Amino acid sequence: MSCRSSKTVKKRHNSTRQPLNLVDFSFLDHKSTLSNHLFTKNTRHPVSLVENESDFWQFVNKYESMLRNMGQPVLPFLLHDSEHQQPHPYHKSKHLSLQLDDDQVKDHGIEELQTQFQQLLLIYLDFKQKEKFNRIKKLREAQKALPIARFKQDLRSSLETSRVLIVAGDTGCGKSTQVPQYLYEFGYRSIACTQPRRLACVSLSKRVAHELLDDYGSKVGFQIRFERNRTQQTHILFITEGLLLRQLAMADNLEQYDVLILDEIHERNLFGDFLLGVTKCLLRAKPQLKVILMSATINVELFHGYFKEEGARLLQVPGRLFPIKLKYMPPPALELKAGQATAGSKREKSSRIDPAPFIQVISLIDQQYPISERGDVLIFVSGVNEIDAICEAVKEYAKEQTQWLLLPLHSGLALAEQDKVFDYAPEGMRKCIVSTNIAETSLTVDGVRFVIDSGKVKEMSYDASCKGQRLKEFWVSKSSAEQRKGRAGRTGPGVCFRLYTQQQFDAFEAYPLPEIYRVPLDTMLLQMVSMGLPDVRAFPFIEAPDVERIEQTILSLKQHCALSVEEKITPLGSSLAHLPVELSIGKMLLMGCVFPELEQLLTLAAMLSVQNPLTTRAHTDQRCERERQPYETDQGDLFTLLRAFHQWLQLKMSRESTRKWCQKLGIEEQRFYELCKLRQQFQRILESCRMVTPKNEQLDSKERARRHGELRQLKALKRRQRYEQPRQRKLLKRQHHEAEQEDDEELGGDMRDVDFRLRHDHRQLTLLSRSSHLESHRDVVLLKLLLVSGFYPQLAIADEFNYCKGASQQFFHTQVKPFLSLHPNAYFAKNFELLKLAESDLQEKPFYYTPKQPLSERHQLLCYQSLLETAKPYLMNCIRLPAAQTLLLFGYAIDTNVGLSRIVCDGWLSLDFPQPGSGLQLLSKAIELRRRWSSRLYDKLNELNSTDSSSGAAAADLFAGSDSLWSDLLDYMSLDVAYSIKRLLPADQKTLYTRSPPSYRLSSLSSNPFAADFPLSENEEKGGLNISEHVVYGCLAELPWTLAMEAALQAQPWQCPRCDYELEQFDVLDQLLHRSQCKTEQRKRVPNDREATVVPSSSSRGGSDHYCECCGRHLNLSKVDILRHRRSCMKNK
Amino acid sequence: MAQDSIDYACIDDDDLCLDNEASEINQLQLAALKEPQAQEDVDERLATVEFHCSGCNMHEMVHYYGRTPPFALGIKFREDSFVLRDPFQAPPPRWQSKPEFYVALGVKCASCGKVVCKDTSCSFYYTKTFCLECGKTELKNWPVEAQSRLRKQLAAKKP
Repeated sequence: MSCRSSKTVKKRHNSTRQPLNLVDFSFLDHKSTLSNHLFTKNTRHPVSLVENESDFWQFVNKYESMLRNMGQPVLPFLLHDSEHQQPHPYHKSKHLSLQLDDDQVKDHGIEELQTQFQQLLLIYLDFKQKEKFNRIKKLREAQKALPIARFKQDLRSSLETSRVLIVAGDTGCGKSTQVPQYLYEFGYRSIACTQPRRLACVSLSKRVAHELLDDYGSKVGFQIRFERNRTQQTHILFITEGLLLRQLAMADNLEQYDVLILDEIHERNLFGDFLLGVTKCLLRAKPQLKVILMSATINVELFHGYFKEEGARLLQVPGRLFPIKLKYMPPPALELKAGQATAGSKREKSSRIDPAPFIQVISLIDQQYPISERGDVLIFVSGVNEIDAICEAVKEYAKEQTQWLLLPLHSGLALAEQDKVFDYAPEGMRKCIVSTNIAETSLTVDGVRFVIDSGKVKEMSYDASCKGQRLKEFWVSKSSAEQRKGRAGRTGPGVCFRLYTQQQFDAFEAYPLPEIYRVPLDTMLLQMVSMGLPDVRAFPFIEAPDVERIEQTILSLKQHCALSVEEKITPLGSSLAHLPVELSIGKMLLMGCVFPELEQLLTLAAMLSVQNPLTTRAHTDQRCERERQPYETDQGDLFTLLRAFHQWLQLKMSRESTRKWCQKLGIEEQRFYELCKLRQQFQRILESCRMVTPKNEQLDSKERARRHGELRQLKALKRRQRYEQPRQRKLLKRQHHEAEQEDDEELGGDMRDVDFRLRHDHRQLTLLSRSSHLESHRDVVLLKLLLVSGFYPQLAIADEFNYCKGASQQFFHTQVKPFLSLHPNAYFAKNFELLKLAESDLQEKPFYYTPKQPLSERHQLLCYQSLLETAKPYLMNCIRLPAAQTLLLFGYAIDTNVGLSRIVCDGWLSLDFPQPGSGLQLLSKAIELRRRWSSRLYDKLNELNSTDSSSGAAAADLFAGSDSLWSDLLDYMSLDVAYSIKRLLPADQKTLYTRSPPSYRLSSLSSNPFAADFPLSENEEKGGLNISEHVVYGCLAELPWTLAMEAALQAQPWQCPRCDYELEQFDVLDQLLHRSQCKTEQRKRVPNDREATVVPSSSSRGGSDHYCECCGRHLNLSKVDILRHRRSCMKNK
Repeated sequence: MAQDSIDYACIDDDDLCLDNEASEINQLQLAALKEPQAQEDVDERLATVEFHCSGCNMHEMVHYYGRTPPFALGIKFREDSFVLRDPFQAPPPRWQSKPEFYVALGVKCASCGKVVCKDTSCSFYYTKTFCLECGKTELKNWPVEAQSRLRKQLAAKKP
């Protein structure tokens, strides 16, 4: 606008036809009157003819000045309609293929100004048409330039002749975006394309929709957990692997796709492998289905071979790689150090990477390649610590050589930080990206010319036998090394420096270890069964895991009651299969669905599922330790964190800054935000499978008003941030100033807070805060119970010699792995006394109890979340629990002797109850509670599985009775019973069981004294009787002390605590017999028609009256017992 | 594609940072859930007319062929054109129109009848659209201004 002088402004309303001359005229001066003409005639709702008015006026301004500059300021008179057809004379408007529709546009009359204005409008609209056309054209050209484009016809013909097609091409060849579109073009209308990651589903669906010019339509959709935008019109669906598997599990879904595209199968992740097998089966079941497998050019032969019988065709799409020079540069020091390693500080060496070789290469680059030749450096190391170490060194180096821009890259970084690697370095500078293997295939950074490869990768491995994970550094595979190398040649010729020798490379594995070998299989196998696979062992794995691991997993699924003995899915199992969470967490959530304080469980489960919020600084910085102290509880780290989280929420509620507070305590705030989101996810999962009914906590009107204002403010903040968001590749700043970076972070942190506040209104905050408040003993105990219900059998017992050893010598044993330690940062590692018996806890032993184990009411076990092996094998996230109560409530196999003085759990922990009656008391209570809990759960599960439209009434019913269960559980957990506990060794197993049929008296029990509705049966393997799902009574062989105890008790009478029934002798069997009667009595008093199976009389025990001469009593005993009685009688004399 | 690589920027590796994805997905600002539309409405939105440029092979399905697309507000075309509903704007509510909600992709050459797109390397408009071949023969009948414009365009045409 500045180019036009205001002096020329003259108002001219010339009715005489005189051409407009832009020298002394501008349309902009008549903006207000002319604006009207931008609208349609319809007076009621005039609609603008242009999308963006200010853009139009800008165009007018530019157009005017262009004409002025070209020396054509006079606007020629316009033509009549008929004249447009004639080539002569020349008129500019003859280049316009558009005309205004007189029916809709205001009549311009004969005013030259208006006529010319409308012409200008046409020129603008025509210009905009060209712009839009070019946008489409450019899009198509970019698509055509992709390497995959040349293979479109191959793809078509291959699909005609074969049902399985493998497309192998490297990242950037365009397969993920183009192949689905090609298929659509070939006429397929129901295309599913799987992606390993949710984010890829969303971004690909957006991208493909855009390329199909269907941004606002629904031809292309995605479906990920919690989110879908798929309609009837969706023809291309991007879906996560996990979700497609879930869909395929339902038979009626099989028909809905005509092509399946499995993308990124080279990643060999668990679901991908699973899906490959399922696809192989599907091809057999659905003769119409076509399958396209897409992978990077990694191990393509494997996939080709796997689908050989299906006649798979292979399509190899060459990438766009430039030549790469390869240099092996093993650090010379390495060999020296290798020799010294045995002698010197081995640990130090392993814990910290030596940055010197990397710096050497960087300085080599500085020497050999002039800075005028552009090109960035990408360094591959194994983990975040290594990145930090290298960055530190490079920073130091860059103080002298200022052309280096340092950029760390790993998935733990905030997205904004990650994005920086895509920005351009300023002229005369090089980026130095230090990355984990994230930049290997998943993410492509252009402009890299130099790759420095450490050859190392950190990988989690999994030991199925002890369910332990191990994070270890390995050499990468050959294929990974090649991928890393390839990153140097994407934009031009490059160089790859390998910090290892050619010999070392030759010894690398060919391919990385597929995930299926590195993770637990339980979730996958459970899903297979729930999909209806009759035998998971027969599943056509592309590379099968160990048979033994499969067997172990099946066993553990059975133990979790997810599978029945016949390996059929149970109601619990099918519900678990629907929960897309770790099995133990899923089980915990399901078990907790009948628990009244579900809110607390959700918070706890979410806490368990996020990464530890405590930073490394939290443990090294004394100040952090001090600040955290007030939140510490002797219940362990998990509960400490929960208290910190509670405090964090309090701060949020009072609108205080939480950032600083988190820093002070050494807490990574991001984890708390994640926790909240995850918790919400859990809630939604449970609601979606109708395990819980959604709560609609409405705000009242006052709260709503306040919330409304708050939301407006927050949204404004968010918009402002979004405005800045749509980021393109930017030019990086020369040097990050520390202060500036902090500012950046400050902003990001605020946004997280805004996000959080947007998501949580006052009510939700209150609810969250309440759910993290676990001050009462009751809450803590109940939640611990729920935790164990998910984590069992992840228990550990202290070594018997811990009592006389120091902090570093405290060892623990699990059933399968001995001598584990607590992580040194754990609360229990520092406060290990808490896990020991105090002097005052020890109880005096009865004379007949001879074993040396201490007798106490306070034995404890640790329940751990995971086993992690780094430097040493560690138990992670432990909670402590009363030992006997926990074992009896959750043990898979509980075996007892006849006198119930000895109980062995799962064949590894033996409990001795030398106090008369204590074993019986605890066990019978445990059986009762366990059965009540599981029947409540199963009622709920059955209700869900049977009636589809569940009625809330039934659910309410369940809750009504649950309170007594929970208070009974609490009572049970705090029962004071003295016992001793001992780990059994393999040698003990041999003599553990009688392995003989139950005694006559036992087998003549007519009713089950522990669980009336559980049919008694003989246990053929161990001996004794099965008295509940998990308990075998009387199968343990007696020990000298148990016999001695029995003998000692013979002399004592027994009185039933409930009624006035008396026994002359303390005989456990007689007590048990009486129990059924005693209960019968009670039932008679309180009529209950539900359980009609009332035991008749007690006369059936089949004993005979016997007079003992020794003690002069009449006894009703079986023959064996008579003999036994005689013996004891004699002894007592 | 560079675009793609940015999209993949937050892929997790072994130091998996839980649920970063969800927030990223939120950040992508998904268009509001697309609701299933009534059938008759859908028909109008479906591109059923095939457009295939004989010059550059550009191949699109368009919504309309003719001079007065029902979805174009306030304008008409001087020749029968292949017109697309504007893919870059959110569609207007039913029965309502939106400014500039149209993109003409091409026409039939006024002289030989071949379908050509609007690209400068495929067609030229002066009073009518001509494919470049026909344009070359036609131009001798034109005023010099028009001739020079086409010549310029022919010279700029990519080989």
